[in-house]
Amino acid sequence: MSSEEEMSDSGEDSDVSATVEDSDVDNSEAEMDSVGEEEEEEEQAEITTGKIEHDSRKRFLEPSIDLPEGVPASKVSRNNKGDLYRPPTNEELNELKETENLFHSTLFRLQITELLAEVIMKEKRRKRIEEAVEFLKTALLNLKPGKKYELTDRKLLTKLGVPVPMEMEPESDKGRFQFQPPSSVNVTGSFSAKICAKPAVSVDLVLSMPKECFDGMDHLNQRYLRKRAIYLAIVAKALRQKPEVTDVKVSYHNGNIGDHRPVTVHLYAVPETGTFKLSRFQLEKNNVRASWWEGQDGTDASELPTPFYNTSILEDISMTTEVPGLEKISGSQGLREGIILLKVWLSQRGLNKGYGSFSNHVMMMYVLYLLNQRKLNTLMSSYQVFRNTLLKFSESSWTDTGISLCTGSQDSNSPLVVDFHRHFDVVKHEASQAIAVLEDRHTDSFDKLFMKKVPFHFTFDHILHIDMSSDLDQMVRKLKVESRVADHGGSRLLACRSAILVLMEKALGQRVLLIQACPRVPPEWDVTEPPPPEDEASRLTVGLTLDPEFAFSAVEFREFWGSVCELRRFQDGAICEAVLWMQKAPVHAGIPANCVQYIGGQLNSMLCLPVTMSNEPNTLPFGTGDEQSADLMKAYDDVCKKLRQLTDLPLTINSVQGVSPCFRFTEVFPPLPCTFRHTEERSLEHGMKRYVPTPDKPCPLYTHILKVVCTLEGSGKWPDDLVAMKRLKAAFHLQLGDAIHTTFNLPTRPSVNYVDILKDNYVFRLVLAYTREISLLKSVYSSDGKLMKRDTEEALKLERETIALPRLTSILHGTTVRFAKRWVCGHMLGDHIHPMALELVVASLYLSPAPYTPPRSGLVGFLRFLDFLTTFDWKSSPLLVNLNNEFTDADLSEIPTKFSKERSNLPLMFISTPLDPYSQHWTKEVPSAAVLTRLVLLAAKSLAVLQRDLMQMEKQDLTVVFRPSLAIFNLVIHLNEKQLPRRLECLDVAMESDRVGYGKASDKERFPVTDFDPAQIFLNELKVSHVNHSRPESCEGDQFLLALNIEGVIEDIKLMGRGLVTAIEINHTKTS
Amino acid sequence: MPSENVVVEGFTVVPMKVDEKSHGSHYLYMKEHSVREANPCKPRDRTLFVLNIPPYCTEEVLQYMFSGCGQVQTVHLHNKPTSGPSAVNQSNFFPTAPLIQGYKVGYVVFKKASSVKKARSLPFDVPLIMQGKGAPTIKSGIEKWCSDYQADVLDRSTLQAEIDTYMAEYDRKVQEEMERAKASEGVPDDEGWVTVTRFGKNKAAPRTEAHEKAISGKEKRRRKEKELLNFYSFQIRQTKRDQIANLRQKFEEDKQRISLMKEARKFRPY
Repeated sequence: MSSEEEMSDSGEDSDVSATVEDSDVDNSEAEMDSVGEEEEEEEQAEITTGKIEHDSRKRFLEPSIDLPEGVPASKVSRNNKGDLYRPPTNEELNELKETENLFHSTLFRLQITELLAEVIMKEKRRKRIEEAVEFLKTALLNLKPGKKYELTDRKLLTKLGVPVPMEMEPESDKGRFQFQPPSSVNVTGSFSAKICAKPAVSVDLVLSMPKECFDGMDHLNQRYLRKRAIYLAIVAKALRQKPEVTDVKVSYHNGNIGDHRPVTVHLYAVPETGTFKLSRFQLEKNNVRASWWEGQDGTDASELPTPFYNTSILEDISMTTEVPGLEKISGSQGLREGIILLKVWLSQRGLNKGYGSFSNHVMMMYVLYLLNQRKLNTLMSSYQVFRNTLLKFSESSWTDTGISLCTGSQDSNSPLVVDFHRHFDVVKHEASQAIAVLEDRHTDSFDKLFMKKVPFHFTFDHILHIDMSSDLDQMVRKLKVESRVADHGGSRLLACRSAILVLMEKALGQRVLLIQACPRVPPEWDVTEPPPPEDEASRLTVGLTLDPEFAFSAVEFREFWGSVCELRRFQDGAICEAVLWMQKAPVHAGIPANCVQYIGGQLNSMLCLPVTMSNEPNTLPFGTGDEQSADLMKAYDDVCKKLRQLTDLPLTINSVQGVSPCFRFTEVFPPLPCTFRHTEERSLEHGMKRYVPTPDKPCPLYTHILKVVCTLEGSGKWPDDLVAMKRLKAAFHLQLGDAIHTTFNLPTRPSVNYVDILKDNYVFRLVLAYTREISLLKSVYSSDGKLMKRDTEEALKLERETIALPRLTSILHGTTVRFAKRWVCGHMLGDHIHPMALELVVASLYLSPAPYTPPRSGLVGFLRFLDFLTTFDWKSSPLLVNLNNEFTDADLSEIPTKFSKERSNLPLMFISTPLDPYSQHWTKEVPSAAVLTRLVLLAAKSLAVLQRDLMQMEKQDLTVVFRPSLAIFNLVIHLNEKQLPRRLECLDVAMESDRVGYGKASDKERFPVTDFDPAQIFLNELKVSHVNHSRPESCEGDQFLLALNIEGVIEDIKLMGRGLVTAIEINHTKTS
Repeated sequence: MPSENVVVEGFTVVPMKVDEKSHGSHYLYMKEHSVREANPCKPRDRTLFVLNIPPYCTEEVLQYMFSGCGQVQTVHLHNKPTSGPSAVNQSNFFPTAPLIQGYKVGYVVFKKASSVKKARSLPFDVPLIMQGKGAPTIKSGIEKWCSDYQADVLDRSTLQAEIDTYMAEYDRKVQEEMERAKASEGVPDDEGWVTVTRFGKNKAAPRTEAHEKAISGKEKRRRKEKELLNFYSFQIRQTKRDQIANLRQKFEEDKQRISLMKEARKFRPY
């Protein structure tokens, strides 16, 4: 068997090889019943799963309840200490040694064992299936030969009585067909090698069509394929008449039969060996004559090769060829289990389904190849087989050198099938990812390799939908793939597909690591129905993974895209060529730009503000705020420089570090310079250089305060007394303000705890920090006068603000966080979870992205964030965010241990970073269990909506995901929009007239109204005053029952929010 | 509802309203102030202890509300019940007293003891009105926040002056302390004990936890270095046994984790 034959298994698909599948094939009533029972049992098991999950949710809600293990591991070991020291048996020693040598770790081994037990088919069931297959075999062999038909006969199809699972266009030219019973029926594939994996247990039966069915030239012009289709149709009809066979369905080749019946039997009809000469199917040979295909006379000289057609037939022929070494696989447990692991791995990534995929069969053949090459041996453990196969896979390159199972290989004809190659690249990429995961000792590799599903749209940074419904013909012409259409059996979609992918590869060049078209699972249909028309109207979904090194720089880019591209500046300051997808690009290469849907852009509107730069036409409008961030960073750098230039301070400033989220590009809406046109909103205070808000005017737009922490150099002159230190610091702030004002002539506003300066229309708040203050706050004297360090609330707060935040700011950044924050705030949970906790969660997605690559677009990052929220088990696992890889090995083993021992005392959302190993900083008070549960629920719902919408062609309204549901609240307070300084940030300000103009600074001397948000102040006031709202309700004897005083609460809200609150809505279903 | 006075667990309940028109009302719970060690600012017989006072209700408003029962001398507001007087800030810029926010407790000191009794017998169905005739106005909402913002002005010279005087006083104290310590260096007290200070020739080791830890750690390390390992055959045997026991224990732990995972159905890939 040559290499191309082996490859062809997955390379082909265009031909319609019908498979007939049936299920519940049992020859006795009683057995059928038992199968049914088994199914029922399985269902019951499902139900109990639900219950367990429900229980765990409940536990999740009550963090004080002890962990379910009940008895901690340490206690157990103490109990049978004698047991631990008993003399070891030989077996035990062997097993311990084996685990050490052959597996990753004990845990990994145990996990694999459990997984295999879950997936492998049981012996009892296997026996029953064998019986059923045997029955089917005899039934097939006993079929009666039929009449002779002419293929050209128009009435042929009606005579047969069953629809033939193939399109008969154009009409066959010649040939006749007579049905003969199969010459042999064999079981091949995974069932015979005992490597079936649940749940899609299937048996592959190969029917050899006898030679008499075929004529000499049947390999030409689809004649073989048509005969095969008719053959299968007749077989299917015959099987339907048997009462035991319940369900016969037809599908294209390689299709996974999706129903979860106990057994599916695929029937493959193949020609008997020796029917055709193998040399006829060389890749460069033409077997579909253009003259026949196009219905006109053509010269043979111009015939193009038809590789797809050829390989598809070759595959059929090779099916009966016995593969040497298959018995070796079925003989070795390690190999068998290894292959099953590989299968699970493939199917979790969806790589083994659909057109041009890397099927289970190919994987098995590859293992066999490695076995023959002595890269594997029969004594290896399943883990070793898995690992070695993937390792070899990630190292190999099949595009350059083909591989062959044939020992005396004549010519290693490198396969040309483009689609397969692309898929191969994807598998290879995944394999190298998997190896990386296995290498990393710290991650829980088992979960990531075998348990986690890797859906298409999570894997790729960008997803494009190309609408193929219009102008398919035109596209075919433009892409010059007319000849390929015949090769693909008439499917224009498939012909265009590879051409488009090649084109995209050329277009994007080095900047993408991977391009993959979303694999589509071929449909299956009932034998009694005609085949569904080929879905020409469908679309092509392409995923792109960007290469970070080249993604944002391009040289040849301009040449390719020509006039469409333009210069754009990105947030890192790099100036790049880019094609603005939002614009209407001219039709290029036959793909009208408006047919290509760039999904990523849709979410970006979430980050846009309706703001125009009216006075300065040169500045860019507020897109996703990247330009604004860059502008802000420029001003910030200037401030830093100026601070370092200050000379007349008693102590020098050691480090300057911004801590506001905008300095790490994670503010949802980057602050704008405070140059409002609406100056009438504020009043100028007499004698003071600042504006102030007044109650009779609308609230001025929000001006962010940009916090910058300046660390002072150490000095022995600082007092050892906290109170004195505070006073000195205040004096320092005053002096710093004066220094900046006199040296650089910038307006400053010193205060006790900070200095505000106005620079380039941004307000920076400088906070001086001195590390000794934290240590002083921490010191506590014991009763005998000994000095001890204890984490006090105040010390932690100061540490958070002056040490942790600056360091995190220098590490974190990203757009994904902005989506995440927007989403959380959109669901009104912004106050119930610390934004830094969200930022760390997102950071963890980037730091340990397995099983994906780190996300390089905001959308995919956001999707994975939601997925993470829904799947992560906060209750029983710690989230380790290894920033800068600062965790030592000891830390990594110690933290989980401590976590599981002290779970009930640690925060619910446990996020450990090298700076804060026990999650003391960001998640200690919030979120509460209820909020976390709600967050998880919301994430699941949002994810479902996004997933559905992203795979759709039409533009979807993704804002739905960001809209809160008000149904769960007892009271809804409506606020006066005029008094909201952040009114522009809400979801629905689309009105053009609402846009606010930002312009040149009219006033560089006076401070704007900073950090004044009535809604936030109101919320804070409400929060501290919700203590006692009960009133005596009814009188029973001398006992009063206390009840919620709703009217009192409403009265409070009205009074406290005077001028801000417009209406209060009571949800009666909730309050009554 | 009873029309006369209502008492719940010793507290008289009286409703209060913002003004005549408001629908909802709050309920004040009050009783006589009675503690063992009474502070003179809250005389036992003349003080009414009031619970559940809304956040926007100031001293003046309380004074107004209870003026119906008799002349009010003072009103004290606290976050939590205390017998002492309200804390007073030492400085305008560095607050030491805790901020009073949210629902609070109050002590209304009347001029006459009879007023307390009168207040105790207030009826349940006649609410007290906060914003009646001649009452001090309550600032709230936008108005309050704007005025708060406007009031946030730093008086620089006063602050500087305050800091200067405080630091001068502080420096003087530190200096005094040092001089006293220096003077007592090496001088025995009545019983002949000499206190070691920072200023002598032999400086005392700091009495801190960290220092003690460092010393004990050093000791341990030294002992470990001296110890002979794998010298006697029983030691070798023991290490081997320990190794196996370690492996076993890890195995047991892993098994436990697996069974937990199994419970959570973590092994069903699809």
